[in-house]
Amino acid sequence: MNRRGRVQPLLLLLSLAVVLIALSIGKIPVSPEHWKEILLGRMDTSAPQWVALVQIRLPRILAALLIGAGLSASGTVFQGLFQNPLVSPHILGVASGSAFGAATFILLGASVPLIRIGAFLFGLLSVVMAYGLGRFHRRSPLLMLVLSGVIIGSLFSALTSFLKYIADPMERMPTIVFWLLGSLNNIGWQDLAYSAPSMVLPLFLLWLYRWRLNLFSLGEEDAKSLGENTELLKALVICCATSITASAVAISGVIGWIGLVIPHMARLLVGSDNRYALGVSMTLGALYLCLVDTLARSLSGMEIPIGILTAVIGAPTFALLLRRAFPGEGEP
Amino acid sequence: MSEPILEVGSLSFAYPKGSEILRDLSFRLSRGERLFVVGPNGGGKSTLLRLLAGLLVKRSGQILLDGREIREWSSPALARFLAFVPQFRSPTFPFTVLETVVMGRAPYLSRFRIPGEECYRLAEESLSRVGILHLRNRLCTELSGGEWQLVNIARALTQNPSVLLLDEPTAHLDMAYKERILELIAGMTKAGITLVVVSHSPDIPLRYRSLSLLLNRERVLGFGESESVLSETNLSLVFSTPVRRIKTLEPRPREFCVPEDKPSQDRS
Repeated sequence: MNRRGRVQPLLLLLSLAVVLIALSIGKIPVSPEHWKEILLGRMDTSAPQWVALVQIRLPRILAALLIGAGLSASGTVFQGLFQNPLVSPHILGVASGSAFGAATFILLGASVPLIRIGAFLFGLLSVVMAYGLGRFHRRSPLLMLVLSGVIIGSLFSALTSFLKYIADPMERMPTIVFWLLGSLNNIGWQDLAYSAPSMVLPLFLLWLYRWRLNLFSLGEEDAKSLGENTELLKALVICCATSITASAVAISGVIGWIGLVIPHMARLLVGSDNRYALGVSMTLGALYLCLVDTLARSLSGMEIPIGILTAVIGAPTFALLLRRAFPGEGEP
Repeated sequence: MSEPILEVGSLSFAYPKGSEILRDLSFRLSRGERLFVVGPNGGGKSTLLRLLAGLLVKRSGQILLDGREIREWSSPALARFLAFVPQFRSPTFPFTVLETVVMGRAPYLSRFRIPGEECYRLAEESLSRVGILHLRNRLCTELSGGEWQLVNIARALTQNPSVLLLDEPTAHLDMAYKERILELIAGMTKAGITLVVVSHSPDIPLRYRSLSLLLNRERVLGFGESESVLSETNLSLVFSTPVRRIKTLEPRPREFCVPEDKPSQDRS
């Protein structure tokens, strides 16, 4: 128990270091001398370093931390809820719904904030539809929820493909495609201010419930026989995770793999007990996305879509993790 | 007779759009008594257990726990009074044994509480009661079937229940684990826990002084002392195949139930 208690503070320290590095790297580098000036309060607020730091990098990095933590937490609680370690936060169709919402508004030539609102609302809508479809006799069996999520998800994916097909191939279509690939580019303080509450509050609520979420991993019936109101807890978990994921997709586009891989890494580090695993998963997710976003904007002169990077890094990492998690399972 | 701790009166149940599974079932148990529910597959045994555990809602009749109708119990209060160990199901996530068993304290903790030292101590106490304290830091996914079943029983004991419902606790287990679990069941009665155990084998209730309920869907073939309820006639009727009770005398007299050979069957 002691070793597990130490992982969390260590990760927080590591995250702080990564954030400082991420803040320093970019087209306008911030050197240690600049940092000294900032700490001593001598930096001129009109200096290019200050502007790059405060106006551009800070909101972007905060968004990366928040989205990374949010997607990882949603993945962790969904995997527990559905008793399936291969579930991602997008299982109930949030990503497809949001993608359709964004594509629709891009096609209509809407402004960026409007596109974000559209993505958020359609993300919520898709989950509401999946939840409604999977609900029977005042109960919502988990298998039905998953199947409904798949149905609603593919419906919205098909509609998004249709929008791409009819979109103007010179202008609107590339915008849709880039948006779907995911990017943290152009996130300002305003975007952050609008989307933070719908991510921070549910994150906090999930964190408060962290131990009780364990009960789901025993199976719904066992959780019920331990006196838990499973329908209520299920609805609460779905609401929180959906709010987080839809907000994340609305400001960053679809960033895959984090919500699937990070919970596994967290569990490998501290075990399955969400008392530890949920917090570690959030920190690890924040750290990871901040790192990947820094790579995305600094590896080449051109910004690499972050969704591509998380997949390119995530897929082999996941393969390695699976080999470590099930050693010898593939042997005859 | 002492105050009944569990009383079932004219209980009926059917799944939505299904035919009736239980009809007009009545029995009562006093504190510390042991009831075995015996019957064929699909005979409604597990359904009865789920009704008693509050996981299914009855169609009509009454279930009184400690004199109070089951619907009037709040779910945490019910979970403090009664624990349910369902049929064998493998674990999904690699929780440790102690982490799993401490979940039995959930009905005692308020919404946002994290179990404290006291909870872990109680969980360890249940583990030693079941005899697997040495497994406490092992991962559930790496346990044998028998060990995992003991973990589930320990989790139920951590709820500190007055009534314990066990659904086929010895299914899929080898002889040694079967004996361990049966010993545990005997010990729990001594500790004053009222037991309802589902079993499709009549050998177990015949071994202990116990009550039996012989059940085949809407037909209740008997409730009372196992010795008399589980007669050859009743068993043959409920399993729709001729059943014989065979007695062995060494080292102590014991009875077993076996299906009768059919003349057509090829035997060497």
